[in-house]
Amino acid sequence: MLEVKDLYSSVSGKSILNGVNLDIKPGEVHAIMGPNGSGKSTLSYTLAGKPNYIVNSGDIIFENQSILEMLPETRAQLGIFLSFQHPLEIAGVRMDQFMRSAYNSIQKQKNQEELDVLKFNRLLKSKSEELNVEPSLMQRYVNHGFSGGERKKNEILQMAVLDPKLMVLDEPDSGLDIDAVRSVAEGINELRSESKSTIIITHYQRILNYVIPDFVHIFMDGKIIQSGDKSLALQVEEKGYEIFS
Amino acid sequence: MATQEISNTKPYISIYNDVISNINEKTSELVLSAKQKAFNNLLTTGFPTHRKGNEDWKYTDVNKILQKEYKLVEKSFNTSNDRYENIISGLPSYNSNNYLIFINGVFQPEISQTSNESIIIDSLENSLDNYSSIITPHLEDLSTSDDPFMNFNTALFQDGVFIYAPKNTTVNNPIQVINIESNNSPDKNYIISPLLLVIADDGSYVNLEEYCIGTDNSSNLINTISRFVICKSSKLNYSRFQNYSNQTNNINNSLATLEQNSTLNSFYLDFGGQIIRNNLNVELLGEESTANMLGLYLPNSNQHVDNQVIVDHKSPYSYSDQTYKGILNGNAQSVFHGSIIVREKSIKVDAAQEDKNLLLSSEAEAYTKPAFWIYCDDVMCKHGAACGQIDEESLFYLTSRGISNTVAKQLLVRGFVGDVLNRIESDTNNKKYIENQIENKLDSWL
Repeated sequence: MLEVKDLYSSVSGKSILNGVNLDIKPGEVHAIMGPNGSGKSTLSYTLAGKPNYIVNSGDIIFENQSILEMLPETRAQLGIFLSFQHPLEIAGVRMDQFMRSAYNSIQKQKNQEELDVLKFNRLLKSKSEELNVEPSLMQRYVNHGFSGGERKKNEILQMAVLDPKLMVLDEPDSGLDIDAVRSVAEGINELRSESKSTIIITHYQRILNYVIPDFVHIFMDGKIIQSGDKSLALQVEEKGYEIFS
Repeated sequence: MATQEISNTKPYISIYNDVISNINEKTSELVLSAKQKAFNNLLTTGFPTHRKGNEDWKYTDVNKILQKEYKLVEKSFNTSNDRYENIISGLPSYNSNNYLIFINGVFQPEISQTSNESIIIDSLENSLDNYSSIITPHLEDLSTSDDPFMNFNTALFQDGVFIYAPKNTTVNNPIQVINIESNNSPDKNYIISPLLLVIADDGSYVNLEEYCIGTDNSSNLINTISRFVICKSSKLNYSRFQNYSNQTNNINNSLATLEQNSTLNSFYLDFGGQIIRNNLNVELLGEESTANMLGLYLPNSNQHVDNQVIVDHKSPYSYSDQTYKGILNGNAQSVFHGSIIVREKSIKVDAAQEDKNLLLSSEAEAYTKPAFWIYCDDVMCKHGAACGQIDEESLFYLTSRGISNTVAKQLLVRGFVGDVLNRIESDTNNKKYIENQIENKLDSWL
């Protein structure tokens, strides 16, 4: 599904990614773990196509085509979803309107039915209920007055509605208490399937107690320095990242 | 006194004389003397110049307005009304209509309509004879103004609108004032001086919509007075949509006084015009009086919009809120100068002010300046001002969900004005009209 080939990228002239290689098959869950400032978020932004994140060399292949030249919206329409570490608050734009606009953009690209307000709100309500998100939050402005936990849950809800193929979760557990982590993890697990792939970027292994990864990669200085199974995450928990440096 | 300031009024002496010689014989001496007094005031002060130190006119160059040569609209000015049918049919309409239509400031009774409700709605010229005792005291008051453009209007006005809501009356449908400017003779720029006088007597409720529409390539000077007298326990909703020609200059002088327990909800939307100046002076005279003032301005290239709001809390327990927002395109300029005055004994005043600007181009300029004069301790006052471009982080968040860049920008820009639109207190039809107008404009920009 996703192949990252020897990827080098920079932000404002500063090199951040220094040769990332990653191969993700449908249905797999990959955890990327690393200390602060190692470039984990840059990897997620580069995958999502954030402007100013310049790819200097290497390639990103998604479903057999290079997405390097694609705009963020095109990547999203193809099925890449980035769950933000810090979901933004956007004044004046209502959640339900924003989500319908996003949903219909993706449906249109897939040549599938776009939904009117009524039908879409029904879909949104049922997804909210499935994920235990208070449906009235959808009538608020995007993330406006949402608690930390609600913001993260809201990212998962968006993912559930937009039904992407590749879910890139940038620290879905940061800033959450243990109950909220469990709740977010349950949401992610519900969306897992044979055909979807997941990248979980995290600093701590605790969310991996709930979302069990197939692979764990240790990310330092802008590249993967070691890969293994879930036991690698436990090593990090026990001994910290120093053992890898 | 600098001679240049006085000399800039000279071209208007003959225009003033024409106005006076055209005055109806039946018109009261008091009206005539108010006009004389106002014109003398103007001759003494001259028009303001935007020299250094003149803070009120620092960013708006009156000379650019005055360098054109203006004439009065000919008495014989004739128009075929069906030309304007399209414009009028595009405006919101109501079941029992009260609308007054003016073309270049000239009242058009054939295409206007007032239903027989309990309130008085007529052209000012018609009303001057019948309701002289109500109107003239206000004209006399206006003639004591020290504001040059107020005096300019008082001296030159020939017609306008008179609305009087007697005690405890409510008008079911909104009253509409429709000002159309139409002038395609390139050698003539008209000076148009409409005067709008609205008196909401005790316990009354008035809902007023004003539409200012430009046609052709008009290049006029429209200098307006809107005088709102809001008496005890009455309420006035006023919504003004201005879309004059991009070569027309519009100076719009509004003065509202609010007595005890009364409310003003005003909304100014500026689309058109070359140089637009809205002076909104609000005096809160009674306890529990409230003024909610909203404004949106969307200037494009070569347009200049200047909003000057002065709220004077002369009474304790009075409340005001100014929320103005601008979206600027091309090399447009905007000015917002909002002042709040809280008098010595005006305890428990709650006053807020906000001006935010979204610049869609790097050439656009927004100047915003809050000013407070607070002479009382026990008050709440707050203000906020901001200028910025579309937030790139928000744009990325939206596009990362599959929304195209253009649609994402539209969402963000509509969101920017959304809180103002949500707070407009006018009729649903008026709100819908305004929302559509804004949407169309933004779609053409983004």
